[in-house]
Amino acid sequence: MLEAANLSASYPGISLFTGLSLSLTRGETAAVLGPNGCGKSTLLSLLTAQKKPLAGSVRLSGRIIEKGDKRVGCILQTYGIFPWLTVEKNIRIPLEISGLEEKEIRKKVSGIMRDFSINSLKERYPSSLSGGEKQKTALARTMASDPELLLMDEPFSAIDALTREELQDFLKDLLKGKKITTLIVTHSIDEAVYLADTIYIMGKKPSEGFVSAYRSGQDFTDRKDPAFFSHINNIRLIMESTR
Amino acid sequence: MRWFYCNFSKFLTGSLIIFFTWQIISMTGAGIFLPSPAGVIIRLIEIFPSVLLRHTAASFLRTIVPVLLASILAYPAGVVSGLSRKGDFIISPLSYLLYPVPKIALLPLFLLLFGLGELSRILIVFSVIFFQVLLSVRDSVKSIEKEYFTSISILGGRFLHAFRYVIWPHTLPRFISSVRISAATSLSVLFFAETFGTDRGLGFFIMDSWVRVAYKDMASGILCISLLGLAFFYSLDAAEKYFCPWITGNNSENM
Repeated sequence: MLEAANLSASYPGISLFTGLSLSLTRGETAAVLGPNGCGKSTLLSLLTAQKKPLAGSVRLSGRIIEKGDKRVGCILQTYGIFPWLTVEKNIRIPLEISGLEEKEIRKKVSGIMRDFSINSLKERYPSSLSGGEKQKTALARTMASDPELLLMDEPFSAIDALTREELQDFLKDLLKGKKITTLIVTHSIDEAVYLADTIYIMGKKPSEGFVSAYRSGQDFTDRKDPAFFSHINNIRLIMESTR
Repeated sequence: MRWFYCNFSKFLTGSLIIFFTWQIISMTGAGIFLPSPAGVIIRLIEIFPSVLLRHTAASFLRTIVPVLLASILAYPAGVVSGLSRKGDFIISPLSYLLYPVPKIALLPLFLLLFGLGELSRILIVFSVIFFQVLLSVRDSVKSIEKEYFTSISILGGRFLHAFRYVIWPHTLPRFISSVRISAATSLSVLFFAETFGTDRGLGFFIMDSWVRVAYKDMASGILCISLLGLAFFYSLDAAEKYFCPWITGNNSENM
């Protein structure tokens, strides 16, 4: 379970949110929606402990999240994969950092590459990959360390529409199977409705924090479902009312 | 292998252009001072084992030792300067003061301070390479995108992991490139350094041949310097190809 309580953050000269709280049960997928500059990425920095909050705390299964906490996986907006390493070597990194034995690393990496259907990309460098393949590599690398909490910053923003839908389906199946608590920061309302159980909407100004927590109560598998559009419209109305 | 053939054909084309131009010049009035390429190559083969080998070996050692020393010392200094504000506060002004000074202007000072022995010659070549490498590595470290450090930190990595997975591979191409650029300058500075207080080295041999009016020997010495430079450049190209396969053109997929 993820519990962020009364988080306050600021940058020199700029006060961001104060008293922001968030609670996700184990296996729950949440999305954070909000306009540019509302503090979504800062929230991820706080949840990964890359940035220290002015006040408040972030706990996962009751324990405070430390910087570099192996229970937390995070995929950055620009994927964060290293252009000088092949796909396979990128995926090996968290396992090498953990100090696993070579035999164990090989076994795990080949298993992950098979599960993610990226075996054919093994020897390729990121510069020769498509946006979707890069995102899959980043996801595979993050999942290699079996995180309890998965954080994603605008995961599919730079990917074409059809590939994005394929990846959303892939991610949805993956999260269901592994029961990982997930928080996705996104601009896309339909992505949030399709993937998340709870959608946190941030106000235009960072100081407003979350202005609403929306639950669709439905697990969509069909994007043409009228209820899907209805939830998208509801969220759009909430967002417009906060402007 | 494909890389080798590709580079070999480039080398062959370049050599043919040079030899052709050289042949034309040698057929004019300048031929008294510049013998034909065929004559020079024959002379080079004749005198290489008995004379030129020891001069080439001396010049090679006077280049390779400072290249290695400068790389070993300048690389970490560049990393410190690129990562730490305090480090940069000290290292950058020092580099900016010393780097622009023509190193050849320091030669008399080095000879006075360190004598006519090997040390002053090694130090003068060292000074050419050191600042070039230091500044290139510093700039390369400074240009690393923050997200790569964040990625490593999120994956649980410490400084040594950041060095292994981010800093080293990111700076390696610029590091090799800076050594490549400074190698040519080093050879020209070395040439001057070898004209004082020594009877070994290609610089000495060329000037000595000039004084003896042995123009074929002189041209053989010049050709040897050129071949020495060529060996450095191709070694560095091979190192880049081997250690930086992700660079476009180094990756066999892109060839």
